[in-house]
Amino acid sequence: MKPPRWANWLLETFGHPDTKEEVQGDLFELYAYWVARVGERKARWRYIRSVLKLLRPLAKRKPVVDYSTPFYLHPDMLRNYVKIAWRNLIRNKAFSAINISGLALGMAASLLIFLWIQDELSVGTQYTNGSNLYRVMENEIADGRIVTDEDTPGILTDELKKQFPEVVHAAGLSSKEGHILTVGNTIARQTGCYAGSDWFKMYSIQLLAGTPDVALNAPNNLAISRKLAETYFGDAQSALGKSIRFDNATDYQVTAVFENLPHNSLDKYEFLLNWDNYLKHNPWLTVWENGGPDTRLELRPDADPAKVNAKLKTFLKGRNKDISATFNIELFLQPETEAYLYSNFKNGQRDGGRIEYVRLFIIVAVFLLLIAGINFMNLATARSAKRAREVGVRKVVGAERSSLIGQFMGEALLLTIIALELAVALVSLLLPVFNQLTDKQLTLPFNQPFFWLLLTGLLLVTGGLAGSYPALFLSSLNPVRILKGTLRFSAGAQLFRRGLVVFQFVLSMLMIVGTVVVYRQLQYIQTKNLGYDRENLISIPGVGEVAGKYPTFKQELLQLPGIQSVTHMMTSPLENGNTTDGVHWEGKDPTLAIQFNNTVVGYDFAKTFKVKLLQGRDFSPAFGTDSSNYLINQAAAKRIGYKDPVGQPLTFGNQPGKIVGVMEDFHFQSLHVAIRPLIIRLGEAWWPNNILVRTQPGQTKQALASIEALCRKLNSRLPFSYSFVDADYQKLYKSETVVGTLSTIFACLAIFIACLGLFGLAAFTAEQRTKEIGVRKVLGASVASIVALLSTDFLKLIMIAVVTASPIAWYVMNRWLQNFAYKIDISWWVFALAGLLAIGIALLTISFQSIKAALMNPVKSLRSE
Amino acid sequence: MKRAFLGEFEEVVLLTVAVLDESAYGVTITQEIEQKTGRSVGFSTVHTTL
Repeated sequence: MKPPRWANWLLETFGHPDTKEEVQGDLFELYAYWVARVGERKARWRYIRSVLKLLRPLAKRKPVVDYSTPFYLHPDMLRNYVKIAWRNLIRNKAFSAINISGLALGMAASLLIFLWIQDELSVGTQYTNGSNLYRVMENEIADGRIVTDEDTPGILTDELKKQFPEVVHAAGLSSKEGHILTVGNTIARQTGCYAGSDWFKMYSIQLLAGTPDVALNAPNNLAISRKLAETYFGDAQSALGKSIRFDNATDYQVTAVFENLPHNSLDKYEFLLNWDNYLKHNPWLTVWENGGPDTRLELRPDADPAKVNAKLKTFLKGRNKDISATFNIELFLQPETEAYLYSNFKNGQRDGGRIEYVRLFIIVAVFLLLIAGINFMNLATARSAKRAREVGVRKVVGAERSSLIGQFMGEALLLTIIALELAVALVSLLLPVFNQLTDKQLTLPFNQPFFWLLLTGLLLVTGGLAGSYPALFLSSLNPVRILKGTLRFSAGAQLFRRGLVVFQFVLSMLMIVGTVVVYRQLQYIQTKNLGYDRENLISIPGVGEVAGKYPTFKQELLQLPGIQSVTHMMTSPLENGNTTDGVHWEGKDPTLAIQFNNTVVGYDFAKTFKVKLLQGRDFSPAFGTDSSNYLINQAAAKRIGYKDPVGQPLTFGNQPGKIVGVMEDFHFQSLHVAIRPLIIRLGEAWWPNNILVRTQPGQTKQALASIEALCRKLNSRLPFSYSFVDADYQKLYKSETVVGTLSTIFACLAIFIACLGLFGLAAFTAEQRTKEIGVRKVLGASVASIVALLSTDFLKLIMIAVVTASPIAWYVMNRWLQNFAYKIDISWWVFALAGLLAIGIALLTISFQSIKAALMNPVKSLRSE
Repeated sequence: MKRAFLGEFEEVVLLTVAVLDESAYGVTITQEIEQKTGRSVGFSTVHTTL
């Protein structure tokens, strides 16, 4: 007469543990009762049914809730959140202003940086078939050094097209040339290049008139930009078929008009001329041994660039007769899309370029956002004592943690939205100035969905970052302790806040040091003695009669007042990239190929440039035989190794001659590279590319006026153009100057935002310690001691930041300086200065608050209770 | 399920508990309801209601 055992087992295993015993007992009793009343079979049945119904999933208590659950997203609740947020915003005007302005500044700066980066990344990527476009680069391996450049032989394009089935199109591009273009009475100097006939087939540049096939396929063809067409002919269509006279000498026929190149185009030209014409004028480019123009390729979409690279590596072997065991030129491809950002090469390997600035500024943007976000976090947690009551009350009436987190995150997002709107307004206000500074044409792309995505991302990241810690912290508070009034911040929370302040100032310090170093390097570049006097030196491009009748021009110039001397130079005085390995001397190891930079100048070169001659003399008409004589620089003299170089024999190419003078090393290339051996030939009768005039200091203005008059007389149909060598020199370092200015601005911003936060924190501490200060004053503390008391805490933090940041800053800036062959040393005082600056600014910020607190009348602060 | 009122069965159970007073427990309540109302009541139902 026992109930089924398996049913008991079920009950024991799955029944509710608390009521198991009671239920079991009752069931036994009932079982006996049932057996007595309805018989054993039915009793068993009832027993089993009861057990099954009491098993836990079935017998689970229905959730009985006796009071209503608050619905956190109820409109009333939402209205309450917004109301409380708004009241908080209004009541703490100072803190809100600090928070919002800090965030707005940080976001505005990051937006500007983002626009800049986007523009940088877009340079050279606007072509539809961009991923198939390549530039042919070459590594010249000579003398234990690898020099990478784009100066390929002029006949390379045709040969590559013939030899490589992978090449669809190939075109050469000469370096930019300035010419005077004349149509009727419209005369202006324009710059352009010679390009291969495939040019418009490779690069998707819109043609307003003409077709890509015929645009550049005959020697006197000319393609001009829409701007030129409008200047000379009114519009693109009417330009087609007309002719333009170049340098008052040659006529070219317009066969195509192309749309103005976008500002992010890497190649810049106003017109293009035919390639065969270029080779005809420069026969030296039709041999494999010489290099000059760029070579561009379009590969088939299915071609493997690695295979092409492998074949290119040895392509010049057997063609270039100079290649030997000690001298080699290896060709390789660089994708067009990388050409702008990855333009630096070191030992034949890609070694950064502008991408470094892009990376740098991404870091700067993140830093600024972090600093602004930290401000928000710090102020919110510091002031949480005030919000704590609210949190306590909310919790008591049933708010759950998640809803509190939601509330505070929402508040943070609300503030961020306000800040973001301010930031966008600020950016649109500042863009014109920023554009001028960076030489770009940036706009706020409101019509691009991507931009909105970015704004949303910025909002969520900044708001989320800034709101996360306060939300987690405030929602974790214990309501009982809050409402009892015994709220104490844990040591952890305080440590965290201090850590954030230190972090902020580490970032600011990094940026200050960076700025100082960049600024000093720029200063160094701008004031560096180049070895010649670049001031009062005027460069006039050699065009028309001015160049054609150079001897007369020179004679007449020298008659003018204020002009000291005149010479000419084949290359630019600032960027001379002409190299040769065809220099030989007695005792030279015949297997060695040593690269010499070289140029051709007129008489009085050293005199005009004011280059110091260590030995020997300048080129001068007083010695009749100078045409086979050479001037060399110190670096060359060292390389050649003559004990007494003047008068010693030297052969350039196949022209034997003698060294007549040794010049002190001077810079003929940018300061990024070390001074290389230089050999200068005399070519008084050569076509003068650049005529250089040395004027007397103080008389430059009159001299310039008289030069202009003279030029106008000789070149009656051409405009007068000139430039100052020192101004051109400044332009060489444009990207560094821009980076310098930008980093200065951003560093100022960073420290400003960080100080805003510090200001808020100091205000908060002073407010919290009002009573303490009152008591101290009553007991006789001086104002100075109270200021010190309030300031030391913060100063300690900033000190730690300075110490932490210094080694990091040193490491980073040292790497940047590696880009320069001639650079400053980072001396200890840079860190001292930056540290003092950070401490000074911070002290100034804090002292305002602490002095205010210290000067308060203790009667007022103590009376309130 | 939000409600602050008693169901009919719950009331019956509660009343029975009051009637039985000291001797009220699962078995007696079940039997009492069965006898007084004449309906067949499962023990588990009573237990759950309790």
